[in-house]
Amino acid sequence: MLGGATGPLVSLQSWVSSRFVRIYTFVTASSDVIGLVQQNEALELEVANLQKQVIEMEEDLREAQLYYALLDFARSKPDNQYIAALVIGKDPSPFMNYVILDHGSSDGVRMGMPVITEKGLVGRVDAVTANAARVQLVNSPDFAVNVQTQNTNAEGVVTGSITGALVMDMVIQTMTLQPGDLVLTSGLGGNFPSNLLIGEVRTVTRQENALFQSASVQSAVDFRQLEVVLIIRNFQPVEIDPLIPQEGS
Amino acid sequence: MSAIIGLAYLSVGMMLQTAILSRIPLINGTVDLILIVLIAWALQDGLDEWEVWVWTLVGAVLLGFVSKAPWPLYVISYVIIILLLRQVQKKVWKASVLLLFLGIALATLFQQSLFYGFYRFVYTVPLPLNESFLYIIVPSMVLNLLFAFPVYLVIKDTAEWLHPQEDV
Repeated sequence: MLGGATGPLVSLQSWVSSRFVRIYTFVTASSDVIGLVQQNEALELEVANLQKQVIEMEEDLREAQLYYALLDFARSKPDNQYIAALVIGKDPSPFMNYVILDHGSSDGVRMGMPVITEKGLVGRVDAVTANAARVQLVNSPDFAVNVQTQNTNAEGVVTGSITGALVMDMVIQTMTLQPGDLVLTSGLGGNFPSNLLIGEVRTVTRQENALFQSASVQSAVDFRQLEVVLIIRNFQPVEIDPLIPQEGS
Repeated sequence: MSAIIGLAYLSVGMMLQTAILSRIPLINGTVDLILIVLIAWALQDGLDEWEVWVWTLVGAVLLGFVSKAPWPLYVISYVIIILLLRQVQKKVWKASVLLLFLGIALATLFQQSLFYGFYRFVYTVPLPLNESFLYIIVPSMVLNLLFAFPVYLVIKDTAEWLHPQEDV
């Protein structure tokens, strides 16, 4: 009798209980979803911050590698004294290739000082203000430097051009010039120290009836990627203009 | 106020040009942001003459200060360009945008040719004419035309802000 009466009650109880459990699960689950969404947002933010940090650290690492390379180079040539400078701009005129550095006369920069990177010659200081300097790049059309090749000692002059290509010219026909030869400053003329790397001979142009042979030179320095340079502060360019005979004299 | 805004705009323009835009060449040509700003400014209605000339001189001196080319060359080229543009603008009614593109194309051609001539014959730099035209002058013109309209919009807004009564 009692068992027959409790049967529906138990069924009802179990129905109510199961509905309660479902509702409880739904309510707690939804609050978990909200919590998960918030947690997800926080994690996404954290990931974004970490990615930003990774990018910054990669950039710092790249800069550090650049500085270390320059430092290694400077240590390998202890006779020279250097001023490290950042490239902060480029001459607005597209005909000439000049860059602007963030160091000037107050840091000891003077006109005519050679500018290099660990890879080779960049150019020379052309103008100076108290806090900035303008540098004439090797690949500027108005640039010329006396050079010689490393192995064959073929002497010539490297000039820039409006396309930025370097040409080694004025090499006498009897000298051997071949692709792969390293081109270094010769020191003649007194504007640059000797043995600064400029680049590598790519192709040689030799004509039978010409007085000189010439060659295209692949620059060792990538002028589009210039960021930090070294100015050789203890090199004094020789002023030879007074020694050049004037017309009519 | 106009002179101060001009100095600020042109200083920022020069920084952008030397620090960023000069390093993004098209072949070997680069954009001349200052030239575009000056032309866009000169084409605005309701400006006093002195406002145009102050901007022109400031822009020329700023560029001349950082460039290898002597600053008088910038002053001469910009003054001639703006002078001609102002004369044409007075004769043409409401043709600012057309004048902008035409002015920038012709001004680039004129200015780069002037610079070419200066480097070639005064500094005696060996610059081949054909290469200079194809690799520098034409690409510079294209870049200047690309930047012309966005710069014009900014300058137009600035002019309207500085001279609100002229809108009515």
